[in-house]
Amino acid sequence: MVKKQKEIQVATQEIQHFMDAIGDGILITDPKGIITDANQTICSILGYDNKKEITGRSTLSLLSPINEQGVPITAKNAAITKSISHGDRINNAIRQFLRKDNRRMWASITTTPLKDKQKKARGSVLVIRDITEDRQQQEYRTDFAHVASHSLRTPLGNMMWAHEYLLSEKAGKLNDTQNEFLKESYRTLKAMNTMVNDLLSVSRLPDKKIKPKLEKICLEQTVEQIIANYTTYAQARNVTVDFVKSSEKHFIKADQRYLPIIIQNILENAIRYSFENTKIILSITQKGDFITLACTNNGIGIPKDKQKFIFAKFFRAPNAVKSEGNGTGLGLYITREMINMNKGEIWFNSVSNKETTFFIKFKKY
Amino acid sequence: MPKNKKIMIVEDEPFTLKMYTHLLTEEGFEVTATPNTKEVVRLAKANKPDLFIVDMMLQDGDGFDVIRELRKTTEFKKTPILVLSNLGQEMDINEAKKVGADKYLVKSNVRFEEVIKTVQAMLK
Repeated sequence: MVKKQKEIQVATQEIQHFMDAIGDGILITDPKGIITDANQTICSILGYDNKKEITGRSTLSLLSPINEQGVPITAKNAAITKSISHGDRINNAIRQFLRKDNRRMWASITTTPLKDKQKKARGSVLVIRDITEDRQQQEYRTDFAHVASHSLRTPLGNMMWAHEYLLSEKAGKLNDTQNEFLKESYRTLKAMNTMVNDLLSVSRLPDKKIKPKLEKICLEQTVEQIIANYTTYAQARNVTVDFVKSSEKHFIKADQRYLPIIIQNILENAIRYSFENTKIILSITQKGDFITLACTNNGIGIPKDKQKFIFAKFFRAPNAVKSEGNGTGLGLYITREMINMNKGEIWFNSVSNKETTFFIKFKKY
Repeated sequence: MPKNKKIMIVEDEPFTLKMYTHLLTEEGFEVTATPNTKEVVRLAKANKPDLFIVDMMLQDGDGFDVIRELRKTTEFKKTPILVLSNLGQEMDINEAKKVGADKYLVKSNVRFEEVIKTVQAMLK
């Protein structure tokens, strides 16, 4: 009997050691949501000295959870209730919990029901991961994008408009030197504006842990809107943009926030690296459950030995640098990241000094 | 081109304001302006503009509140509102449209000619 008790004691200690060694917080509750056991990690996460301070308390009153929008979670809607009452496993719900010092922390929580042999819930296990630092970084990134977009773009925009106005000669005729210098200065400002936009796009690339909002989008409509925005740019470079489309509309699953940036980057590159007096052709095809947008231009192309680097961050092929000095090498990196988030694919075929086609494939809606 | 149409600008950056005023006046519009969000409705009632151009980040408040206030005011429920801002995130654009903006342009991404064309189209 004594031997048996000792064995149980050793086994219990081993389980406790094992639980304490886990990097995520663990709470074990009874069917009423009262905490019956916990590991040391959850105590540290919540700012308690040891599990004695939290066992015996109600999970909801201990954690005072609120959701991502700041709305308090009621007992009825709590993940733990769903686990115990319905036997559901709730994966990675994002919550804010209250620490002992009354500060809020961000957590990702997974709850799993504990069932007996009769499959009756006798409690639940909560695995809690502290994601406060990740969330703070996300918030800093959003704040940076907000401040930077306003603070950097405002002076740039003002300077560009002032240059446009002076170059239009509405304020008076310019001599050749004035005209040349202003044009060069305007070109530099535009390049700087592109760089600022690229850097902002990188800062906004969402955390990969966040699910994109995939919704029904008409691809033709988005492409047409973007072509309309680029008409002036294409005309200035003596390039025409032709959108070959059938009467059928194609609907894809994509995130409305990122799809326009993806198409815009592809079209802008096509225009920028086209030879003068050439045509860019965009077309849409459907094969099974997938819809592909192709964009072909006649221009400098991508040298064979550089093709494997084309989606790398900050990479610019030497012929692109020679043809267009300004650029960050971020456009295609951003594009591919956004396409991956949209569960799409991107690839290309290119022959130097001849023709390049970029393909973007999305799932049909 | 619509002549003698009145435009009211809500913008707090002095050089931007000077340029809008100059370029729009040159196109034949009658321009009034204020950098003060609290003054917008009062000045608008006095000047009865045909269109508003509103910036989003202002020193004493934000453009979203300005648009909300205008849409709450009977006289301006349907007056076109063009947002010209350097906030270019989708959430800002969607929010502005949700509170009542008709059109949203990111300043540094458009030429001023496009702003004029947009204003003209909105006034048709």
